[in-house]
Amino acid sequence: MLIKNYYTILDRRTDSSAEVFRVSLNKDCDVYRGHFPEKPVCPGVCNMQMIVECASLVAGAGLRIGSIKQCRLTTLVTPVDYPVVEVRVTLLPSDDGSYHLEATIGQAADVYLSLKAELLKLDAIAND
Amino acid sequence: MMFRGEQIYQLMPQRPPIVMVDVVQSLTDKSADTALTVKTDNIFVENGVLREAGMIEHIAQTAAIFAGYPAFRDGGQPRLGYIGELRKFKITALPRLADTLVTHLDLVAEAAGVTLVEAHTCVAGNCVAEGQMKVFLKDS
Amino acid sequence: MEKQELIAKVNSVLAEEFEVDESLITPDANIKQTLDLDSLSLVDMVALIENEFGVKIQSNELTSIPTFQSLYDYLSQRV
Repeated sequence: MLIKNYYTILDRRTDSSAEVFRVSLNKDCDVYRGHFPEKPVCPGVCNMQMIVECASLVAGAGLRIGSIKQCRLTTLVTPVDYPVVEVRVTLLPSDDGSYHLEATIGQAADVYLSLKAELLKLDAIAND
Repeated sequence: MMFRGEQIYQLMPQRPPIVMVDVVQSLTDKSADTALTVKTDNIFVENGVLREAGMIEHIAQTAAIFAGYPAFRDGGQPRLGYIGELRKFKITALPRLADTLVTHLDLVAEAAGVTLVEAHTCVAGNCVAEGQMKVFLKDS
Repeated sequence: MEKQELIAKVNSVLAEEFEVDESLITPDANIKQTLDLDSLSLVDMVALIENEFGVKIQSNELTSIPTFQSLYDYLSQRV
């Protein structure tokens, strides 16, 4: 996990073509010391990274974002107001070894963050 | 150079460990130029490489500084810039420890309180990231 | 740019950018509803118009451009 103890995966289930991870957001994570002092707010990039890490579990390989078609942050998520959220990941492998990702963070029908991106294998980058 | 290190705290509310801009080279009402040197204590570094979340946060903070600057320049509090959307983002390579990210940002358009900017980031002259962001301002 | 040509270009660039069928773009149709614009995507239309026609729609003018016809008229006076 990139950001130490940012979240914990509580459980995982399959829901038609999506993998759904129920995660708890840890309000004591060090990132909240600076984002923001006395007012913990989830950094959008940390939630995006959480999606990438869940997607890596689905793919069974370390992945990184190659390109983002669109990422919408429609709700201000905080670990105090939203201690548990769901990360829905739909991952379609493309023939060139990359993955097409459509993912959301939310609860039931509410979507707080939506992400449409292409993910690449991480190790393929590290040694280039 | 306009702002460096802790001077930047006047321009944005983010504080360590998530300050991802260490130099503000220039700011106008149409553009911004910033930089970030990747250090070992950067929370977005993994296996000696700055992950894409750190690159995006660096650009997001550049956009927030740009959007909030007029209020600061006119003597007020910098308003809190939130990122509402990212589009057409491309991350070509992950910077390594000790690399310096140099970012140029341009205003594209404004409408209904949302500012659309376009930015690209280079390391040693090679473009490593580029994309569009939408920022909206809230009173911090 | 001749008005008919302007209308054709407006319709095609908007249909492509916002991924809607061009047949939905009719003169009296409401722009926000037809293109499914919200506060975040409205600025994309402003950016597209400026990029394609060199005309910068000011934030406060947007409320006076509700339909495609009003957009054609606004542009034809400025292009």
